[in-house]
Amino acid sequence: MPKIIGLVGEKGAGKGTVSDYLTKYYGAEHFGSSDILKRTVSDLNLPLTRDNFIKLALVLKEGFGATVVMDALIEDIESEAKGDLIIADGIRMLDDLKPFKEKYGATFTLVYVTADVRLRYERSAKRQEKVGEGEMTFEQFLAEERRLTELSIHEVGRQADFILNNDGEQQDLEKQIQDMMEKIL
Amino acid sequence: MPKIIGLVGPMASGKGTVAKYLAEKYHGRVFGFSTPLRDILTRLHMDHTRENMANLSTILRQQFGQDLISRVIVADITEAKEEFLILDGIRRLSDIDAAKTMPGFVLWAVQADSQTRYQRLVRRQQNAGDQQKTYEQFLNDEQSEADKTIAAVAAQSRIIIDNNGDLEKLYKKIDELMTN
Repeated sequence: MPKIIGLVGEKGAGKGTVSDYLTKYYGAEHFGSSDILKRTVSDLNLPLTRDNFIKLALVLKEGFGATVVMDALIEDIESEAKGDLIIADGIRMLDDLKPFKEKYGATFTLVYVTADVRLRYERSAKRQEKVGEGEMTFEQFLAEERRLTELSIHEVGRQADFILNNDGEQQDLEKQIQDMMEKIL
Repeated sequence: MPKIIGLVGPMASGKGTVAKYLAEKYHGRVFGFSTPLRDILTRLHMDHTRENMANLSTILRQQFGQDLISRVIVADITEAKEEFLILDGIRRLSDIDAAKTMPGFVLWAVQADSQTRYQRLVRRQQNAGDQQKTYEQFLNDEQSEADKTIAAVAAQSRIIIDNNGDLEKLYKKIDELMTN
């Protein structure tokens, strides 16, 4: 039975760094709801902005039920995963969590990656992963943080089995990941 | 400038058959209005039922604009390198408005009686759930949000293909239209 690590975390908290580390040193396979949303937004010829991903996720949930995207992600995992360690990335709401708990039970671990908001702003301004991220002011960043879809991340985070605090250096984060993996594996 | 033939017609009137024949005999490439919707349903691991496609189309257009799907198709067609393109499954007035903006576009309407179309629908395997439909359900489907504007789109076509007969007759009619 493979182990599933669910990742939740605010914008710029470092989910990508955690995911890359797990992939590189623990052979984890990455599955993200944002891949599903990104490909869909791209098929629809719309700009690849965070705003469009969120809008798409919301209408899909409205039209086909709250778990539609996560159910699809689980189907992807079931049909494509080959290894023993799987990352399920992009959990944002309590509704997102339910299908994983139901499907995987004790083999599912929820990990919350978090960092100070100022640090997160600086990191996301630097990486420009999504269209428009580079030009945002700190005030705009804070305003986005207050949206319901972002607030739910903290709520999910409170249910996490492990919290990774990414306020420090990369090394500190890596040490936390190693300690956590010793308990999980 | 590529030639673009758009196809409109009610369920199971034979649009797919016309599209396939045009593509094979006249070396065209087929674009379908339902293709982006089918791709998304596949990605979400959902069945390609009429209900799912109509629901998906409605919610996406509500969120991202009524002309969303037609903009996608027009963009795809603009990037296409082929000289002859077939645009299958035009059903909404906003779709035909967008299609008409493309130079070289002509609209063909495909028609057949409802009994004939019903018989064809239950026989083929295109969409999940169609095989179990009664004639009443079939007539009901035609009044749905996704289907009720088809007649209004077809009314804009000066070329009408009657497909109550056999394939041979249909192909002959297409060949006539293509030589003119």
